[in-house]
Amino acid sequence: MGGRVLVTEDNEDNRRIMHDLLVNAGYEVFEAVTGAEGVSAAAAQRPDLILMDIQLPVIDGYEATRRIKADPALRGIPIIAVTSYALSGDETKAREAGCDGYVAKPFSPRELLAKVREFLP
Amino acid sequence: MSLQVRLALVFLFLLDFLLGVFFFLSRQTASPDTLWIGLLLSAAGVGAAAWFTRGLLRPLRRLADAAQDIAQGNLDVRLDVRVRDEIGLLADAFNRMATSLRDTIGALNRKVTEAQTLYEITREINGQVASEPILELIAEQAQELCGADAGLVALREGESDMFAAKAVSGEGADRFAAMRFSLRGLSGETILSAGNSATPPQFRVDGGLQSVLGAPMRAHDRVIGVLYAAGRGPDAFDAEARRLLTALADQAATAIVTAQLHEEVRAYARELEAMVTLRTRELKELNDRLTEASQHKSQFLANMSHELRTPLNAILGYTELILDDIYGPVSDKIRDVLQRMQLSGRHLLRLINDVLDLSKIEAGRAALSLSDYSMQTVIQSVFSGVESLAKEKKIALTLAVASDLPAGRGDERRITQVLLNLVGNAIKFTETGEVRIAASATDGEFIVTVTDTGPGIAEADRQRVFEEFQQVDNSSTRNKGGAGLGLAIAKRIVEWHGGRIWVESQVGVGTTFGFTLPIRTETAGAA
Repeated sequence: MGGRVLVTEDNEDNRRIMHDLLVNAGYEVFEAVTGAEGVSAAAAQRPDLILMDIQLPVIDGYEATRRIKADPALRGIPIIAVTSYALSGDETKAREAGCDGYVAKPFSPRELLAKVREFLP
Repeated sequence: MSLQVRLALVFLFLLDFLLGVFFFLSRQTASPDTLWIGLLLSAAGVGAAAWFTRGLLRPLRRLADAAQDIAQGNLDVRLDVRVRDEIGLLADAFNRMATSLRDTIGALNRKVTEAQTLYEITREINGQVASEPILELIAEQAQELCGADAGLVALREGESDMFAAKAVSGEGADRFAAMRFSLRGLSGETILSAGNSATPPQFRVDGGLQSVLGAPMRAHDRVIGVLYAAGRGPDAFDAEARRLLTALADQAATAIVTAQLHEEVRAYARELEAMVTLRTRELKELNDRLTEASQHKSQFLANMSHELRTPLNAILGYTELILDDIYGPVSDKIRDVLQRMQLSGRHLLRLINDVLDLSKIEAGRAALSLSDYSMQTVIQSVFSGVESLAKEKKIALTLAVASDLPAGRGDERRITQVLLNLVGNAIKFTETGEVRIAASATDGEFIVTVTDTGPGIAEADRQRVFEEFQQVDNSSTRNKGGAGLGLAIAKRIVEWHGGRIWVESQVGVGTTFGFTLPIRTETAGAA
């Protein structure tokens, strides 16, 4: 139980929900707001898991994922894509970008926690 | 010299001949002088008789020759007999007969020509679709028929007294082509001739043509124009020419009116065609604008849905975290209220998703994702999804699925969505009894029905259940939640596949929703 999770999410409420949920579940949580921040935080913190929102400004979640996966030092970190239900085909695109898991928004905290536990039991 | 006198003279000469013979035969008894006298008398008698007989027979022979000529078709042959006797009278009678014959045959020929001309004009009219060539033809025929030097067709301009040349043939074609003139009080009763007030002034002024013959062209008791024939010399036309021109004018009037009708019809058709083209273009433009507007609307709804869901997601997220005691223990009272908030929030989320879904389908932006699927699997997954819900309400959930359903082709996710909606509704509205899902395949179609033992739907409401936001509106159903968009979406999805959806119900007994789907949908139908 436990582990270090990087949450990359531009929406403050979503960030806080994930933070509160994961901290309560015993994880250590780092936060990033933009795709670029997410990439640099991944390099700086070397988390055990990254929750990556896809619809981020400037550098979106796909691009941030590709950059992290392109770095041999970071490639091993599993990334769970968190994206909107409205856009079908997102899961495929997320997999293609290198994501290891996929959670559709709006997510239930319980579902999200279950998904996180698949990677960090 | 009369015939009687001639015959009397011949008789006398013959008598003289006999007297001569008598003198000659009595030569023995008479002197040689009497012999010569007798011989001379006989010769003179024979000569005179022969000469007179020849004068008598010659006109008769010429009469016979002339009769022969006439029989052979030469109607211009005439006898020049100046004698005043019976033969002279006979010759006169013969000449009169020949003239009469020539006139009659001439009239007959003209009638044939006239009939032929009129026939040709009529035939030309049937062959012609434009009135201009018909007018040209009429002008030519007027000239030819009357033996004139020029033919002209003038038509009345609208309802005015003004007439304008429309077609000219023969002499002066250039000069008269642009002619316009006024004819007042033209009754159409009389044939017009030179000097008449109905003669176009240009004809009179123009010295070249001294004789003018005009015939009004009448159609439906209205003078629509005048047909003219003009000749160089004075009195160029006889009564026959007038008669022919009148007959031609009558035919011409019919022809012109017919041609004008044809042209009106064609003009109307062209107008209609232009109007249709214009309307088509307008409709296309309108359609383009509507398509654009629809796309804007669809984009707006997609954006709005996203913007609505983000804060809603936060509300539902926090609610769940509180309910899971992440922020500390929660009293039962607050927990109850939070659970109600959660239900309302989820309802709102479903609404937003349905609106988005429908708008995407309506805008044609959603595409059917066709793949092979198993109807058994679809039914089984729906069954699994609602099983716990049915159990909770103590409703029997039964399946009657044919074991040999063929493999289907369609949008599996959408088909599952349709069935889930129907079964979900059935369970939602049924308090006791059962919900039964049946499926079979016939004639290339799947037939799927969902039957419940719920309250039923009144007939008036049955018509509206597939319309947006038309959930049967009463207090019992209002408590069940649901936006009333599910069936509208289901209908679109089914029709999109080329199937149909329907409802049968009896109030107090239950309701059956059914739909058909082509077993293999290869292209999307109308959404």
